[in-house]
Amino acid sequence: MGDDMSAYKDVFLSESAEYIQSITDGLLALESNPNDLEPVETVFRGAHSLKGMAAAMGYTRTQELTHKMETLMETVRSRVQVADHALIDLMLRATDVVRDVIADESSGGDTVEIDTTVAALVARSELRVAGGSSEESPSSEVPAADAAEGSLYRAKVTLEEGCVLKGVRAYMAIKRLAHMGAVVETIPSAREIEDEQFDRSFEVLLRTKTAPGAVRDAAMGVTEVEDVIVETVEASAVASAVEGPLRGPAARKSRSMPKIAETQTVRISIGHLDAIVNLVGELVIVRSRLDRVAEECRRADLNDALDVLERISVDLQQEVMQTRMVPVGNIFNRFPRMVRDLARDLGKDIQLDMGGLDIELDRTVLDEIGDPIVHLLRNSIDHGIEIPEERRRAGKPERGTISLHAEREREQIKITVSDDGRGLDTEKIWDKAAERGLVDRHSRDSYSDQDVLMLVCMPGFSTAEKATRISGRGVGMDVVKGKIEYLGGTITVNSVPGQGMSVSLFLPLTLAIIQSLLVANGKRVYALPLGIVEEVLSPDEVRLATVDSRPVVVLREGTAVSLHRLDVLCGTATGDAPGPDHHHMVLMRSGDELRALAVEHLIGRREIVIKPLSPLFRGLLGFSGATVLGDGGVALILDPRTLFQLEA
Amino acid sequence: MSRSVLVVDDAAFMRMMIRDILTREGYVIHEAVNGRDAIEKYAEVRPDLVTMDITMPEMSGLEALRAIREADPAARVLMVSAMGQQKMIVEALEYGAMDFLVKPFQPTKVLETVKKCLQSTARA
Repeated sequence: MGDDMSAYKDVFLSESAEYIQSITDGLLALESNPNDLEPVETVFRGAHSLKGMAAAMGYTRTQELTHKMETLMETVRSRVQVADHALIDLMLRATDVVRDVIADESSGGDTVEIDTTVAALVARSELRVAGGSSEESPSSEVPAADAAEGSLYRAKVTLEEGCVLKGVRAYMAIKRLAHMGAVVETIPSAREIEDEQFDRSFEVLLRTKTAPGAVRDAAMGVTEVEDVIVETVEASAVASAVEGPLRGPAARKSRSMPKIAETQTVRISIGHLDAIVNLVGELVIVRSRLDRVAEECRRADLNDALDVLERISVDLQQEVMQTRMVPVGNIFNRFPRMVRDLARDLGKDIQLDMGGLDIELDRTVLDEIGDPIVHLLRNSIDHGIEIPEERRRAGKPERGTISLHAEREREQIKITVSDDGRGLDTEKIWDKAAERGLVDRHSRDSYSDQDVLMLVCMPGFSTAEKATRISGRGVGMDVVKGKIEYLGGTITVNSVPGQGMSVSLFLPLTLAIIQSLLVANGKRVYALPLGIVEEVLSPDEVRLATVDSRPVVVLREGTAVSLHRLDVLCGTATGDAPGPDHHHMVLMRSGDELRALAVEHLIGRREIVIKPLSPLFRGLLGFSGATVLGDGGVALILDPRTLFQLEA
Repeated sequence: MSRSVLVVDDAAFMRMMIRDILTREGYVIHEAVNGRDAIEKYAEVRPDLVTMDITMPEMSGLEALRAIREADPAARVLMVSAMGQQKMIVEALEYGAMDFLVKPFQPTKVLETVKKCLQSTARA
């Protein structure tokens, strides 16, 4: 195996990750319903496909390990063994090792050892029949290390006319070939051959050190085989072997295959996509510059052309953004395994409900939120859900439930992690926060319960009585909150003591280009993400008042909303600036709250390209980034979450 | 030295057919009427080859195959089956059967297959 295979490595890596996922899903499904044969098939086929792919890549350890996994699953499939917890545990552990060894082998390393796992799998497989047959499954008789070496051959086997039970004859021939090396693929698929869905001929792709003549002789030795043609396969044809399992008609028919086969897809590197998004961003900026030029020129034909340009660039931008959207299921799917393992470690019985897996989020955002969600789940497992005895005493079902749901809310995605555990005790939180000097003990009255709950997100706060391996101490919610806010999102915490808690993350659909409302104070222009703007009111539509010596805006229906002046927040207020009664009021959401922001001028709605602030200004309150305007000027993008902290 | 074949089938008609085909070519024939009988006879006569029907009363051909192969890993067993028994043949092959014949059979095919089995070594 040489450099010519490297081009297929990406395909191999992403596909093998999909198979590892479907194996994990299958094992978990099997654990909750040991009599269901469907997941057994999924796991079996997953291991089988991985084995073939690994053989084609020459990854001998991966090949051997997946082969042993396949053998073990075969004993479950043929009802020789029952998939008990020990077997599922062993298979899950083996799946972890497969992931590690693939990473190792694909990067040319040789540090991950598989011997222990292989030995455990073999030992468990041999439980099959007490004192059972000495028959070993075919390819295990050839050491895997040898099997993945050698050349790749295509053997075309033709059976005699009138051959009965040709599926079994084919099976015998394939088994013979498997003795000499690794069968990478069969055409048609093994399943179709078994079902006799071929005429008289089928093909076997075989990697072996054996000479072609001997390969032919072996297959010819099978009764009712009429002819065998063996030819050497070029490296380019190997690619089709690697991708074959996904593209073949059999794959599309199979229910538990990864969904990818359903649509025609092209794999493209994230780097290219990012470059395209940046270019589209530049295009948007240039277009708004052109708009300004056209305004001065007042030429009808120029305006017409610009209208078309606008439509095209909007469509282009939408398409490009769509290519970056990835379903949240892509990161959610690893959580069931994690929850199961942690719960078992802690002696808890926890069920994870997930929903909204098909909700799509920009890849950049998605990559960043995995860790925060892991943290929230761990918190729920470790501190939220009680041990079964405690739950029983509290009159709850022994099995705790954690749910993880994603939903679309306007221009945002809401991801909620909730549990039916012990919940948060606001007074305990208050005491602890006071103890740590985060709040003034005597100011409890000026904090709502909601405010108190948010204290758990302050740096250095931890509600855990003692540190545990799982969620550690202190580092946690503040890190989660920081990450979400860095992404331009917000976080809310809710709890009913004794009944559970929930944490919601509100995230922008995308990081790169957003719809915004441009406002200005004097000559300074600011952008507000449109997703958080509820309404804009003109000065004559509102009534100003004071509640608890704080300024408020009274809305039509009588609700009072706290009022903030943008120039005060940004420190640009001057004595002679017009009072808020001449300002426009932007009603905006900040977390769960509604607030009114007083601005001097409304410029209008624009789409803007977000340029992150230099690392020097990260953590700067009030602003999440900057953007370049059509006239070449710069506008700061207001961060709804931290903006109002500037007031203090 | 003439080779010996143990013909296992519960139907006397089938045993007779195979016996006639093979004795004409000089093979020495032993017979057994079910799986249990086959295990006993095998231990007794140590034939060079067993032709084993799959569906039999008392003990099936599959069970007998396993027991025989367990007692003698070098045992050569040729399965005899009816149409529609693919699954069982595959299982038999997994348990170490060397080849199979499908009923109704042509004498030439029986001879050819038996000869082929006797030429190769059973895998231990």
